[in-house]
Amino acid sequence: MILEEDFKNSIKNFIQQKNNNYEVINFELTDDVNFIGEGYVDSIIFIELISFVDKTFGFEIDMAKMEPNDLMNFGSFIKSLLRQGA
Amino acid sequence: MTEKKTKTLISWLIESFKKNSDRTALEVNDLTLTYTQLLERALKYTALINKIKNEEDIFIGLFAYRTHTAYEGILGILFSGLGYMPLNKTLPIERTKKALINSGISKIIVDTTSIKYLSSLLSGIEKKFTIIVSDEQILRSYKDILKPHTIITLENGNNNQDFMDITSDTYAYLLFTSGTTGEPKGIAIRHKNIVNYIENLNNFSSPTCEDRFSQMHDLTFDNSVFDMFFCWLNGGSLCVPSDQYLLMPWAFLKDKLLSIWFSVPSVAVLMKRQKMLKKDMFPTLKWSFFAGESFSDSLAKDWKDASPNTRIINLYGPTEATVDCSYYEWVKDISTKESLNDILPIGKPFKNMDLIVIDENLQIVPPGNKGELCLSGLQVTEGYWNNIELTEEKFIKVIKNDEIIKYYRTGDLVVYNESYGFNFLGRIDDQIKILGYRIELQEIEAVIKDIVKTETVSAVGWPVTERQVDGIYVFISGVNMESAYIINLCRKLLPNYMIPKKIIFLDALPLNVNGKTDKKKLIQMLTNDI
Repeated sequence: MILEEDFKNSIKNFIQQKNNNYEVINFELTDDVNFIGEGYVDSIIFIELISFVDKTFGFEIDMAKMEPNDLMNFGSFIKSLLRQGA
Repeated sequence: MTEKKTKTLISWLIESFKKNSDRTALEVNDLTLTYTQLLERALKYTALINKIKNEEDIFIGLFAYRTHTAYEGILGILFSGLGYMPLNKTLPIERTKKALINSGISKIIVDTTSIKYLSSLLSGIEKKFTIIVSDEQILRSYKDILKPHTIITLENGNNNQDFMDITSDTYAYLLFTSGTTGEPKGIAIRHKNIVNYIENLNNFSSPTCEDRFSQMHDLTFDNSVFDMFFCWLNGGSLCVPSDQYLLMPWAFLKDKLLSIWFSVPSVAVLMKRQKMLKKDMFPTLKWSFFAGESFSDSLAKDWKDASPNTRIINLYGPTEATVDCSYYEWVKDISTKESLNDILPIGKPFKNMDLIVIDENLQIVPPGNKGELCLSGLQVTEGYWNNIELTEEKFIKVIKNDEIIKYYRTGDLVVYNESYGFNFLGRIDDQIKILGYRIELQEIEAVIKDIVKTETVSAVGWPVTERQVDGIYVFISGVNMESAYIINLCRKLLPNYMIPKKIIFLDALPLNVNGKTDKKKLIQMLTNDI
């Protein structure tokens, strides 16, 4: 059983480690942040993230079960992943 | 070779915009624009640029990312007889700053998604810029923040323009690519270069005004020139994926019923890794174009399985030769035989392009012999922007049929086969590609050498999966430093795709017989370590 807060913090740390291009950004990954639109996750980081979830939490993300809306913000993304990992 | 002097990108665009006036030209975010609407919006930018431009203006900056402003701005700039220089908020600020200074531009069109990054982009640059925004509200919000720069907005009124001063020699765009010294290099492309490029694409494919085109590439990547102009010059609809769709390209292709696809092979690899390259998944696709990196026969087979009605074209070319300058059509079974190490041929040259293979003494080698591919012809730029030294190094004179001709050295090792054209064998130098982006490993080394203050730094591309390089690994000797510290600094200086995945410290770097760092041994060390 994955604890939502632990899972969220782990993903948050992973994304934050991969970033910091523009110092101007107050880089808070709250649920409503459009983390893809803001450029925090590109296709390279996305693939790495999928692999990170697999290695760290032991479940494979099934893309067929995801929709573009699941990637609208950080909160919806975490929820969609947890649905698969539950 | 015959050179066309009269046709410009503008005359061709205007003809297509008039012919397809009521058709959809652009779908971006939730906005759909017909050709007439897009033209009207673009001409507002043209009217403003014509009013404020001076003799020193050759290019106008475009700091916009996947919004309608980006496309209206590009057309608006082109219609004013100037070229566009795209700036990208997702690239590191220091790198973009260098390109901005090198370009000499003083006016920038900015969209709502990029404007919040503008003050940090312009900080430290002494020049005063004129910033063009689309509406009054943005102007009011950013007027004080962007001081001492001037910020202006579009005006209502008469947008009738004439395009008399635009010739085939007018510049269309200026792009910057990775450079070996850590300084990005500028490549300026003229109208005649693009016209020849699109005419070639039309020669071997047959898009119609019914077609729906993908727009996968950032505007700072020259593949976007294909996306926009191949579409608009044929009256098609340009579909811009949302940020979410960029990570789920299979959903974009399916939901938007695309009929013409263009991407780097890595996007197909991404779909495959997401297990979304399924049988008959994309029945609407008629033409699939791939370029920017090596494309494997096995990946082409997977793509064909997913897209049963498509024809697959492998395009090849450097930015210096206007996106692509050769093409190869994939044919089941035949292409397997024509591929080398599973890599598809890059095929035959475009019309009005001359591709030769030379040896170390700059002598042309006969077909069947390996050598460096060199390019000449209507699509090749004259040289690097404000960089005579690099131009002289990369643009060389070769004697062909008793005539001295200027060629661009690609650095690509190839062999020519008379029946199907060129096979790509690898790089002569240290350049690799990740996601289709050209990466000079020396640029990464230069940045890290500056951070760690030692010369013993070596970067390699590894691992190679599906014929694509996945990431950068850097070896350093004689330094005692935290790798996290180095990587964090790299994040400020290099784009995401150039940031090392890992830094490995060695007592000494292995050397080859010539006393140079032995990169093969470094790659072997990584492979053995798995």
